[in-house]
Amino acid sequence: MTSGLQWRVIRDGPCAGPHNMALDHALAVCSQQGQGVLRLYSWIEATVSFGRNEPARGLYDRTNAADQGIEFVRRPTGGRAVLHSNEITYAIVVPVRALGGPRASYIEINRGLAEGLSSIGAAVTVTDHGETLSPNAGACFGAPAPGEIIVGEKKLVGSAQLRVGDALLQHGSIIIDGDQSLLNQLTGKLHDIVRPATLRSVLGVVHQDQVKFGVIDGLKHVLGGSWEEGEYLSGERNEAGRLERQRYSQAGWTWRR
Amino acid sequence: MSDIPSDLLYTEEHEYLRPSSEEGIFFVGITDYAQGELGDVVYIELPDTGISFSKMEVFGTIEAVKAVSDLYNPISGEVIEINIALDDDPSLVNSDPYGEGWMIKLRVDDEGDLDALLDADRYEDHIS
Repeated sequence: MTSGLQWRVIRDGPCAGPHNMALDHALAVCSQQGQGVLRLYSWIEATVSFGRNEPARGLYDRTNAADQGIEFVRRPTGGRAVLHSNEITYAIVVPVRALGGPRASYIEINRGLAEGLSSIGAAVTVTDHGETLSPNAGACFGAPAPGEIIVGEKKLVGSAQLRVGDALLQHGSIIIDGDQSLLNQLTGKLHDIVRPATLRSVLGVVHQDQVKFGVIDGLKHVLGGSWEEGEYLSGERNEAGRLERQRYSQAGWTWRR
Repeated sequence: MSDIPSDLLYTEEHEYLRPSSEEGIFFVGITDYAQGELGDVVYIELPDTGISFSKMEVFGTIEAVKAVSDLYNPISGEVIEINIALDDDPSLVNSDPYGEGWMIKLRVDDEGDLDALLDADRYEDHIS
């Protein structure tokens, strides 16, 4: 429990990939002791995000992607490719020791998300098994790692982390609908189509506000502390602008590997 | 219980400095405590040799399952060698962090700067 933390909840609208990644990264860079941030957001265009160290250059049919209106961005965090489309995306920033280090944080945050999703009727579990996968092991939703949120044997939430200075960023996708098969189409690997669990398949009708409410409530209960709605600070906006210009909107970053 | 060799120097960011047999040359890596916190290491990004880094400048990144962390240079100096064995087997950082899991060899600019690093006792206090 992080009973001492003051949490700020930022409900953001849909943004382009570089702006989303810059904002998440900026929240971590500007993190302050004793404070946590939860950001909930979505994506203007369908966007493939690569893990920080994931090989991508030369592996994707970019013409095909452009024809379908799919954008690309590279995350600050680890892990593997995700197609962001119909989903709720979360980002949590905390002081790195507040939840007991990266691995303990991963478990605690996922426990909070799982509790929230369970509260709205999604029969999720946090897996205690899985594989240690390298960045070039395929799509993120292809296989769960230990501590991830699953329905049956399929991943519902894909998450990744960045430690920067004394701050920890964890962000991830809660899939509402759709599959990740476009990733296979864009990479030509049609034999192994990834189909994650979706809230639509579990709940039927999905009300996004209800999901957000459940997620916030679950995290509040598991992580503790005091919570209030808030906005970006000016320093965070400035840092996000710098990171977007210098890194996340640059093809050299997106296609660095 | 983490292994903290008494003959090494440490940073609060969990890098270590281990003397080599050559004057002014040190091995740099991450501590046993740090690798335990990260979990299974799957990728390490290291700089080219010949590049100089100032103290606390980021010289690379390390990725463990899903977590990426920056690697901070403990002391100003020039990278004269990187551990290319980590390309093929990054798990050496987990299995032998102070030995085969070293990351860069650094020619330090000023050995007087070593005084600012933590000895084993102070590092143990830091992580406890």
